[in-house]
Amino acid sequence: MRQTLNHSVLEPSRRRFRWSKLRLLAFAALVVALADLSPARATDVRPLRVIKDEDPNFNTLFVDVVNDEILVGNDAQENLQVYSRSADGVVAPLREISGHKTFITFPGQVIVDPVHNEIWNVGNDIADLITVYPRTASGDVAPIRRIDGKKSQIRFNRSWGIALDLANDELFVSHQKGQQISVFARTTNTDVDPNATSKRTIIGSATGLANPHGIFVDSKANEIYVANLGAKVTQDRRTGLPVGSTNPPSITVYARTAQGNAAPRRTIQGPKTKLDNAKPIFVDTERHEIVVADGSPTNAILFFNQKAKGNVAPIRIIQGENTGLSDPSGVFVDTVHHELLVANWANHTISVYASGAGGNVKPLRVISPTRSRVAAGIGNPGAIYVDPERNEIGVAN
Amino acid sequence: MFARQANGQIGPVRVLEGQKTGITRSLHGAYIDIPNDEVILPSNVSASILVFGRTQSGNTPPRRVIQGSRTHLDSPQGVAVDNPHNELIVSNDTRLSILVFARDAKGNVAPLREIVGPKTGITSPQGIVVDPVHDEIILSDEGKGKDRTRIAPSLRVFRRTDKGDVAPIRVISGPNTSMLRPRQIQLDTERDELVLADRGLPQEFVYDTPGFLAVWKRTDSGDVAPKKMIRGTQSQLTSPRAVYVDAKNGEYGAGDTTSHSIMVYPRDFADDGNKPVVAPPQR
Repeated sequence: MRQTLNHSVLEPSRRRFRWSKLRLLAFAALVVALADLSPARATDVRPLRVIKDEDPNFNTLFVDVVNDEILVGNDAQENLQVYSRSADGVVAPLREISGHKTFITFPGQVIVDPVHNEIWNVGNDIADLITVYPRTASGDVAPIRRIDGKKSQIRFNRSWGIALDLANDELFVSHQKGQQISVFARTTNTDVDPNATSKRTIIGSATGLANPHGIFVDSKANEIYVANLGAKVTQDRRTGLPVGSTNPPSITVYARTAQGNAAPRRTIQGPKTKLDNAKPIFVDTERHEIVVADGSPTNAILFFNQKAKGNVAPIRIIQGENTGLSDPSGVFVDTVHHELLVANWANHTISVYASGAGGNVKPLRVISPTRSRVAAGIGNPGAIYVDPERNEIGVAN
Repeated sequence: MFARQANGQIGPVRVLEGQKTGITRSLHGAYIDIPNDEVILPSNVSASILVFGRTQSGNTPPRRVIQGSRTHLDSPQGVAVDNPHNELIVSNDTRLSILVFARDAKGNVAPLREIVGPKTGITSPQGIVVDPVHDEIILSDEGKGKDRTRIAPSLRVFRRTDKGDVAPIRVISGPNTSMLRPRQIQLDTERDELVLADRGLPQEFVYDTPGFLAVWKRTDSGDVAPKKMIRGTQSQLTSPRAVYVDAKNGEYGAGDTTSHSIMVYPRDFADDGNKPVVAPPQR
């Protein structure tokens, strides 16, 4: 009442001003209160700069000698691409499998199965998912089968390598986390049978598995070949505490039917081997050689006798500035056309060499959808930092 | 390492990789310790902390490695350095703990302190920062459960000197926070803010619920909405798990998992997403 009386003696214009000022203050207070209480409104901010590869980063490859095609896994755009096997120079892919329906995420190893007319991929690190498509699939297509590694009864994590054994109708999968190999029936499909499990696993301290990546099955020799990067975590027997270790990289060889805590039949490991950052592995069943690619910064293809073991030097190396190798991440030996094909992650190329080539050799041909040989090469950026003094960005990849 | 102003399909200025480095695929943390001219990387695959020179490159060994049974390291994710107290702080995933070492620790050494136990509420520790001014450690925790609702994701604040089974002094968590899968976190000391990269939620392996960058006041507590958030198609963010704050140049950086890219944003932006005409003053 007192306030009203006071107001009543003010001039109308001053009253209006006083009221409008109060209203403004009240409104401002309300806005501040609501801003503090309501969920944040997201702002769709356009980036000032983006460091990204617009051209593909080839992570893995497989040659379909029946249909004369090369299948590659492309990390940069997260898709699968198919090129003509005999392509040379700058060429577009024949087709791509790409899009949300495909479930392709951060593709690891790819496989072509010309017998059942299918192609395979494993989503490494992020997806923990194996997908299968018709061989001629193109565009945004759903897989015809899936193995979901997140299922509790399967539970695999960070799987980079897969290998198909058509003679025994089995799929072999390497798991970085847990140092494990899982073997599935070829037709396993967790969409149809959510309770499906692996047929057997290789896991344990005797296996020598340590950050396993590439895997190959030679059904004639009845053996499994695994490329190990070396890091692992075990448990202290006395205290049960975790014990991390960083071991020299290795190639471990197991009986095809090995399971449990099975020791390898043979291990290639040691300084003479020149193994360093080697992920992909392939066995040349014609020349009886194990082929691995040392990634960056070594950039080399190493060849070992298929029966080699211990601290042995490679019998041949492809390495040098003429080779065009740039963080080689996929290898395949085409025994029909007697060629070695390499997927280079860091320069957008597939380079092809004569079988038996060695040294600082030029490729027979280079296949790429771009002329650019520059790559940012960002895989899975788990952490970043800025160095404002040196004007640099660091990426843990 | 890229030039700060790199843009597009451009190569790194320096690369540290190879067997001698001990670096493996799947690194989830990184910290630059400018006063000591070092970069620290936790390797979850080898349960180790790797310390390199700031400009080190090539296939060269770390200056120091912390690794072994005494360390309690088990899938270390994030790392931070407390320079005034000369300590190294680690978020330790599989053991669900926070480890504190002497900054220059090496070999198979026990931590100085460990925050661990049910009262901590740690369920999936990821990013970590230390605030030596306010004596706090801030941890991003992904939570647990298929749809991340069983145990909600959170930012958990502990006293810097805490050890053992202690409850956090503050927790930011709840539906208003919008948190889904929080990862790397930074402390913007100039503004007293926490800046988080949240990688979003995959639906059937596809990131249909995209991630974001979000900013809270350092002192926020409870179910508090971030004061600002970068998210949306124009931002190009799909699943950001990494973030930096560049106070000197007024920028945020984001590392995006599924688009395999680094995005750089203005630290100050208008409601429509554009940078203000007048840039904030540089320090």
